[in-house]
Amino acid sequence: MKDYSAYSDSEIWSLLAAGEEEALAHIFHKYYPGLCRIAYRMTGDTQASEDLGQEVYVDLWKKRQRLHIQTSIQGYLRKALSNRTLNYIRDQKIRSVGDAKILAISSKEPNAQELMQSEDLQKRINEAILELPDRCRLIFILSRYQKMTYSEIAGNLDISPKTVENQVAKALRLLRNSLGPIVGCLLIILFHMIAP
Amino acid sequence: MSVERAQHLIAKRLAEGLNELEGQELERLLEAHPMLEKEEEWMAKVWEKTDHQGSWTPDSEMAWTKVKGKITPSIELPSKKRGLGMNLIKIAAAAIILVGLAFVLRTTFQKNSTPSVYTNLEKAPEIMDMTDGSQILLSSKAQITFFPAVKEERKVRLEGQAFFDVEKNAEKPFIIETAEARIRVLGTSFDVHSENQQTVVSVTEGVVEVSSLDSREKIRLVAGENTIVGVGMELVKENETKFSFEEYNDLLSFSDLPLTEVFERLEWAYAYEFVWDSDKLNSCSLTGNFADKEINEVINILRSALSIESHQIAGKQVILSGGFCQ
Repeated sequence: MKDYSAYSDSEIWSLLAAGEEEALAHIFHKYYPGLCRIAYRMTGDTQASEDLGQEVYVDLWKKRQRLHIQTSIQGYLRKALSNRTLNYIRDQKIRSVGDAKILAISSKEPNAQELMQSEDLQKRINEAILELPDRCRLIFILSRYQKMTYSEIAGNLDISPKTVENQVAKALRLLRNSLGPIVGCLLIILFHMIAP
Repeated sequence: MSVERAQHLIAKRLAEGLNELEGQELERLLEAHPMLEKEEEWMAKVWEKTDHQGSWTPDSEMAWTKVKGKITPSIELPSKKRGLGMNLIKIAAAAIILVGLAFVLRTTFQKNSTPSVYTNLEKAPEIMDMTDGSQILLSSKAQITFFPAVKEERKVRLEGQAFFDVEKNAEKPFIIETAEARIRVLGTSFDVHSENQQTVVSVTEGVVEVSSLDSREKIRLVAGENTIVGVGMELVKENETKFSFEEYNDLLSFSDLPLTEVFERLEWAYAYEFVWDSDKLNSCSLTGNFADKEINEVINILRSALSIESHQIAGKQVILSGGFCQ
């Protein structure tokens, strides 16, 4: 068995194009769990996430001879996974389910201070992430969990770094607002009262 | 200035870090509006909580097995399987038929990969489409093994019975090895029938080269010729082909076909040998369609059509007792 970790990305691309299955096995074991976690954060569904992750590799293998890729393998895989996941979500229309969840959360109107101490907070945040708009959620996930920089995300998704910055901030603001509606509103009112 | 602007800057500080100007802007906002400190605390808390990845980790090994299963066929092997009932008519210019109870075939299509084995566990033959355009009609219980490419060859091993439709490719010859024989396809259509330590090759179209693994003897067969390969046997050309290509087009659907030929086709398709004790059956003919039928259904139909008294399944034999036709 070759030590594929000693190969550069471009060498591995060549091996893949030449039909070397072990090269695919190598990049599978290296990146598959990470890709699944992105998809899981996006969909909240482990089975769908695994399917999406696997499809990326099957698809890569099918068109390996036609690929002329300059980017890193991880970058390619993330991009492929991201597109596939966004399509999946669009097809599943899970937003409608998501909207129902948002309503359920907001109707509780918890006391912000209590919530802040609450054990429940983790769960609510996880749910709230799933309620973020799809593209906003994807960008937030790449930033937060994949530890990608704004410029890396921008390059990966073919958008400007400024858009990434706006989307990450939007995500965090939406998360924060969804968790503390009372204080949030209060704060905004107070702020406008005292703002010059 | 707004809460949103402050949130934006706090978020950026958490996620990516702020440049000097942005840092100063946030400082001014926080100084001017002490209420924002609470907001900062909230954002940080949310940020911290979103760090939780969850304990879920996919089972990579199992996933890889699945992926491997999906990619292997698309490279070298059958991309899909179909029942026999579909269209054998598609089986075109070059066909090989391999029949036998225990015989071995080899072909090479794969590169850099371990042999892969497929067994037809269905009760009816299956057509397997291969990426080079060839097709294999794999009879029930037959097993085919595809080996890694050694040279520029397509090569398989098969145990049981199969019908091959080989796409002509002068640069990549199609090699078949049985326990007794090595068959080289030169762009053609023919049958190979191997059983009881014998391989029978019958050519209906084109040219086939057959070598005996025992004697290393080599022979070329053209349309209408056949030969038998076995240990200690000399390769002799005979002028008779067991099945015509057209008959295979509609293997299990027949009209007024002599019963002996019906049995021959059923043997081929189901990997059972039919044995009967009533001479009255010898002159019978049958019309029917057994496509997609399981062996037990086939036997029941035969029993009622031919008034067979009883039947018995012993190993790979179906023994029919009594019976006659009007």
